Amino acid sequence: MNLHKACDPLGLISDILHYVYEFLSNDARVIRPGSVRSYEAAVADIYVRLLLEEGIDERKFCDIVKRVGIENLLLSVETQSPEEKKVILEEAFNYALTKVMRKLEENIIRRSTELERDYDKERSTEGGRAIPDSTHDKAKKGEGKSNSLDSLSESELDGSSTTLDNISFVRQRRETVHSAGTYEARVSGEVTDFVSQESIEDESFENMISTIYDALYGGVGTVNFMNLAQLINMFVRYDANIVRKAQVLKKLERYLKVYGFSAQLTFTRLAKGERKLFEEFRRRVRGSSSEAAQMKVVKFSGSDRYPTYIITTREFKFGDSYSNIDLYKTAMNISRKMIMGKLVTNKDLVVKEYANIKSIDLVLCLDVSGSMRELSWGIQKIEIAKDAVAKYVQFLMNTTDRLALVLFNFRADVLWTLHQVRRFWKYMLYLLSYVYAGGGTNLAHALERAREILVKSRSTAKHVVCVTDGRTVNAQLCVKETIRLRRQGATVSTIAVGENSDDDLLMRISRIGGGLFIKINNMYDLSRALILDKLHLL
Amino acid sequence: MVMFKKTPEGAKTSQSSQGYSDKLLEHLPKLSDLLKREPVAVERLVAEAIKVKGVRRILSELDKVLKGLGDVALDLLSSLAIGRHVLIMGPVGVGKTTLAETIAEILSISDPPYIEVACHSHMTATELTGDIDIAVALQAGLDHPLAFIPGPLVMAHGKILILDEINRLNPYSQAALLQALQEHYVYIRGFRIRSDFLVIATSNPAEYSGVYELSEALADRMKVIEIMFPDKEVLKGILEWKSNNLLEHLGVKVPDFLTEITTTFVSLLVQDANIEVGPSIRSAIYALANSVSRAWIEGREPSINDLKMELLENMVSTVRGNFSSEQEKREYLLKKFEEALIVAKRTYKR
Ligand SMILES: Nc1ncnc2c1ncn2[C@@H]1O[C@H](COP(=O)(O)OP(=O)(O)OP(=O)(O)O)[C@@H](O)[C@H]1O
Ligand SMILES: [Mg+2]
Repeated sequence: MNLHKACDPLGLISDILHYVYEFLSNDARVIRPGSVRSYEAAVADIYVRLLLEEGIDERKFCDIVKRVGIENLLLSVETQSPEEKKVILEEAFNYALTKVMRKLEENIIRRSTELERDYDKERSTEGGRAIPDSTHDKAKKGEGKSNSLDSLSESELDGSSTTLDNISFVRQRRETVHSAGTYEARVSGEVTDFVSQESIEDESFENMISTIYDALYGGVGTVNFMNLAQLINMFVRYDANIVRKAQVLKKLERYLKVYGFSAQLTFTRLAKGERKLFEEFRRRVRGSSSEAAQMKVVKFSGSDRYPTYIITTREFKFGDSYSNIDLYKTAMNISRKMIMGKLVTNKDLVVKEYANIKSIDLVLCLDVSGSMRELSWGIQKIEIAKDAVAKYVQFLMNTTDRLALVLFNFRADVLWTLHQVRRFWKYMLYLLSYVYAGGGTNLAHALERAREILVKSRSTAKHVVCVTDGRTVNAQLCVKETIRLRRQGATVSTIAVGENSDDDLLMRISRIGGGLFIKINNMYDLSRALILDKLHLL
Repeated sequence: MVMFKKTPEGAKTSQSSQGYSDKLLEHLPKLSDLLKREPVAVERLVAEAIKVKGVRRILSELDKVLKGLGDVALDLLSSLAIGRHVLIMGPVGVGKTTLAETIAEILSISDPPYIEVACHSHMTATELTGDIDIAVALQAGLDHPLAFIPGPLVMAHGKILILDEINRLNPYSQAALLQALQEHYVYIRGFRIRSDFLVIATSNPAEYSGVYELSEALADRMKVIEIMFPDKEVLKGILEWKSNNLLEHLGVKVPDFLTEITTTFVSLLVQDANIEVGPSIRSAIYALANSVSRAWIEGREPSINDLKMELLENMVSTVRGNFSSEQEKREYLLKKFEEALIVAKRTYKR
């Protein structure tokens, strides 16, 4: 079972109805557990109903599944006393929902422990002696089939479905999900796919899954979804050398591929006509409007506080280069003197003083929550953001600045700590290429991580940039963390992407952080915004 | 057979009216056209309409007609978009029919946007399918527009079919409906006419008297959406809005206190264990508006007594419960009204 399947809503919904059926067929109060037609309709109906909803969290998901499910089964299920029917159905759905949700969590935990174990195994073989213990054996057995992760949950699923021979559609659905997605090319044979037959195009199936997926997991604080940094940091210290991290990723690569995540950095996946159409549909359905490229910048800092290379200004001394004169301040002084009818002197000429800063320490906090999986003109926002960060890295290659990257969804983790871009850019681009999105949004945690990183920095110029497209949990804590960062001498800028961002909060963070607030409507403007923030140009 | 075609000379005397009715006849489908019908994926039309309109706009348009039914409407849309027929169930007057009509109108997947049938227990299968008029057919040929009078099941091709009060449909007509649903064809005296449509049916819950059970096969093809009685706040909003609408042309408004009493009264009755069928929203709206209009006619301010009278008159026939006589029911309702009055006064003070 790969990650997509574990979290894809169609699979989830089928599983839930599967358990509902199990519950109903084992319950003595039930005469007839319902027709296959009604179960099929329930799966498709719930699925489309979720699509119609604007933003879904776990509770809403459960509510809709339960209500729409019961609506579809009500006339088909027969119970001994009709009055009890609804209550029994509710019980069945509650049973199914808890079961599926728990399984989802278990899967995530299992996946992480297995990865850990596998990594340990590799390390021990590296060390020269493989210990033939039971875990090792199990992993080997798994490899015999396809790979350990896949077969484990797959066989478990088979086990539960043998008890319900009647209800074959659930397996059929899985098969079609398999075949429709590009992750696994399995031939589904003569299985007819009612969803694609009746309402949804085959071609857009993958998109459909990703769309509904982020409808489900784009919300705030949903299911634990490990981001890439968290995954890597399970094997190395979070502040490990970037080379070490790249090595870990190299080892994890093949697992990530199993999950359906492969390296993507350039726009190889060109927007096909269908993708565009689909995006159009999505936009219309969601009712969102303008996609015009726009950028709004609010500046909360004087140039003196902001870590460009200029840190202070002073009066003109003989010998100063005229190109260093701060024209704005000088003009102010001169006009003031003129109004007062006084003479303009050398003292009124203000010169920018270039600090001794050789480099700035930058921490970039990138939102990798579920909403970043949304498509923008046919390409996932996270891919566009990655591209922008890559451009940023390339830009910084010409400086001596150091850059750290923090990924945050429901929690934040350091993908790489401060490293000089000039020397390590290759590793940065490599790590970046595997970044994927999913889960909730927790900006406060990201700020905390940034602070941890910057504590060790001895640079006089520290700057944090947060890129987010959504609303975070724990807004109050964000403000507190920003204040702490500020006390540490760091500045904080925020870049808000799209309509759903919490602009008020981000604006507040920028104000406290003494940085910029940049609002862009389109992820494609991110690279421009990042560089603008760096140059502090207006 | 040939007679009509050769148009008798005498017909010329009524040239203009003849021409007019000819034009009307052109709009009627001919049997040969009906037999050539292509299948239509109605659910696609619905999905397309949702795409084009956008969920938000649909909901805001609905909100102009019905309040507090957004979730229910989305449940309705999602099943139409996958081609699942829907049965809207709920107590009398909670807006079932209005919801079905409004949604069909907003979607406007066809012209007209929907075909509606008010079901009744004496409905025959041919009333649903339509029939061939033998006399016309013999005279003017089977293909004369008047030879075949199509029924709603045929007319609904490519459209939404609203079956209001489907629970009144007797088993014979249920069978005709079922056949159309499962085969997508309607059979009329050996002719097979394609008809694809989506059904939105409305029904009162089965515990109400005078209803037929839906056949198992028919029921299996439908999902049930339940409309609950609105909670007190929504109810008050509806009463205020709708009764003032009714009174608009008189230039008077419903005093807020009367709305409050009515809302409390209705809510009390709906929750009452002694009452099986509570008052409908419709009757509450009319009671409220009537009490005001009555006072207006007599040229005075509406009083609590006016409201009491009207509520009783409007509701005593629809409310049903554990009462041995009509008199007992009246007295019970009066008692409840006094209760409502006290509660309303108390909430009003705050
Ligand atoms: N939620 C609501 N918002 C606004 N008006 C409502 C609402 N519910 C009911 N009404 C009012 O009640 C009237 C009756 O609605 P409608 O005829 O659709 O009910 P119904 O459920 O079909 O009743 P019946 O069971 O008698 O057929 C509507 O015209 C409307 O004015
Ligand atoms: Mg009605």
